[in-house]
Amino acid sequence: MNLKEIQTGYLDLLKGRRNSLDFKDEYFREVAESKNFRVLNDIVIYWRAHGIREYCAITSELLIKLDKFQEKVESFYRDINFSGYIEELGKTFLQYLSDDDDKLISFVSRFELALINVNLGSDKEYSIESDFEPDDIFRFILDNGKYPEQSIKKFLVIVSERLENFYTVEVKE
Amino acid sequence: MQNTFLGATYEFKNPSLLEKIYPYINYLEITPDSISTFDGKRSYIPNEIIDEIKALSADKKIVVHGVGLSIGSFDGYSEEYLNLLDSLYDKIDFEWHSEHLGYTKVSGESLGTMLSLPRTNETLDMICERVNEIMKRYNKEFLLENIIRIVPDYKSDFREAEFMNKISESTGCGFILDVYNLECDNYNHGFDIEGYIDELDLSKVKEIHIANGSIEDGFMLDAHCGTVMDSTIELTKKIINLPGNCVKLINYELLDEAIPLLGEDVIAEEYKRLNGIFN
Repeated sequence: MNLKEIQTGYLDLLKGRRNSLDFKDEYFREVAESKNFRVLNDIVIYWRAHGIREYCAITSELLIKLDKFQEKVESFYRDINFSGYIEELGKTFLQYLSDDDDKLISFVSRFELALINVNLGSDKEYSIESDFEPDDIFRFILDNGKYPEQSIKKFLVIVSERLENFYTVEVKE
Repeated sequence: MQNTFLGATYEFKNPSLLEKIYPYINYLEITPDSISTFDGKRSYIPNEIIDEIKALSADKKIVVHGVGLSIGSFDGYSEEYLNLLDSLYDKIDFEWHSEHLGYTKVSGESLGTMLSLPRTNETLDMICERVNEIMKRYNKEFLLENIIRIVPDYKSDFREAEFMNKISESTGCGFILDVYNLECDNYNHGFDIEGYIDELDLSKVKEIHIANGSIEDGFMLDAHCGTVMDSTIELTKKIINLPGNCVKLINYELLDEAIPLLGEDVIAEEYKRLNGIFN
């Protein structure tokens, strides 16, 4: 195998795109089944999780409460071409979750991304819709409140540097 | 024995720790990737940090050690990393710069880890060409470092030290010898440390890295999270006492994440101890 084939082989193994049976080369068949590879994979996920928890504290806390943190970090690692730079990685993770099927995860990741952008000096105003009462969400994440129930009302959360505490909540009729 | 000096990796997040270890170090090793920030479009090193490096350079020698160059990627090294290095090169007077002999990206995708290279003629030619480009671009001494391997190497044409020597013979680059990584490779794969050191051209080793890690699932990992083991210190002493070596700097590597676990006072004591041994 040449350098390109070897490196692409490792990439595909780590990203879960190929398994041992997909390789003709004996070396890769053995590596894919080895404890060494499992440990390497664990290290890779550990450091992504570490960076994400540090940078995306609110969303990480939500995912941990929902017992979905590990699953989401692993799928993010597999599916997304992320940057090695922590700030880029964190933002990409939040963008990745912005379209999550779980509306709670989608809202919180959008909200945190907007807060980060404002903190970094963005003068944009961000509007994020929520099917949940935002205070219920924050109580659930930060104060061990109960899981928020979907409301019959719709809420609009505005995030902007011009607002006190950087955000405000409006009820949409 | 060479006159060696102790250094510390610094990420500009713990000034109180820096103050405590300051009397024991002569060098500060800075990593462009770790001190950069991202503005939504590009990574850059903030001016405040550059000013701080300048201020520190009045008193301490500065060396630059990258992790994001990915010099071994088949599809090219990271221009983003070189842009960060450019911004330092223009403003900071550093002694030399270095990178790991490995790769972190493939086809533009981040692996999330650093992997070792197959030691083949194809790789040798590619690495030598890139080292030459980098040395021409910066006109500064450039060092390559041995990395830890978790998965065994792909079949190779050269022994590890033979491969390093060939790169240096062809390009004139020097080496960082990571002593703890050798110990990890020995623990994980039975790597022949004695044979490696016997064969490596020690006149090219300008810097040594020492660290400690952890044992996870039967593997010794370079987690950079502890005080230095006696075995690492003894091996380092042995190397710097070998004839022909040109080691100037012994850098004790510790991740920022390890600081609260060990505590600043314990870390300061460790620098004091290492200073007593190596300075």
